[in-house]
Amino acid sequence: MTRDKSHMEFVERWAEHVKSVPRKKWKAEQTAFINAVFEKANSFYERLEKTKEGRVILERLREAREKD
Amino acid sequence: MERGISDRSVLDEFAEDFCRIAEKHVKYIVVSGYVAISHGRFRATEDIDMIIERVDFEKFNNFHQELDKAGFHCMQSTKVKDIYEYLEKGDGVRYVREGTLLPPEMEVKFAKDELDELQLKTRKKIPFTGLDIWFSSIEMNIAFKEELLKSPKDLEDARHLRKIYEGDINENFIEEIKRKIKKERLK
Repeated sequence: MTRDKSHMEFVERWAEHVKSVPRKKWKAEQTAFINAVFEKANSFYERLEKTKEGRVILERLREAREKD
Repeated sequence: MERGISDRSVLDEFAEDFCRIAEKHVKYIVVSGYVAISHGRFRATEDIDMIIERVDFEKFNNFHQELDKAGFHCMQSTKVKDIYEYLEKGDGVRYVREGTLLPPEMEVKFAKDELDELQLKTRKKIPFTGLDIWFSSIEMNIAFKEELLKSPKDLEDARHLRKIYEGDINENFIEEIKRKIKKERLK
């Protein structure tokens, strides 16, 4: 899989930002993003838990993760 | 270490809690994606990769028992002998928080060759990250990502680390590691 040039440019711009501000600032920005990703994933799994079909999917996911 | 309560992400909390226990039982390093993330790379990950020194069963059992008491659950098995066998075969074993099979998870592997031994030998705690964790060196991570792993995500991780440490990277060491990777992992 290839990504367009703008993706790497963002990586570089973000790294420059990280270097140019105190850790407290970039850390707060990054933490908000990472925690939001996990919250979103967890709420998706919670919604799946509420339906019969969802529980079957979750069970398959768990089995796949255990075997992986 | 000066730090506010809210500046640790879900990943940081998981990693530091796990590493605090690892530190008591084995020589370990955290490698790959989480190294870049702990340096500010703007992405998440489901798994954190840890390499530990090869230890005998008794030592690993002590480590595992303490993880278990602290609420870390191994996904592949609840039997420590099975888990140890996985490690001895060269497989990774994955730990998550008890009561969930959801990420984040810690994937633990035994050091498998001279390169991993070198990673353990040159491990570092890195003040830039603000984390109390042993990491494999920046040069090692860049070399592995550029020479062995090479996915777009890995190349971006390497680029991020190169930017952060611009002018402060030992390029000769990176080249030496790349030569060793070619010899030991790409033969």
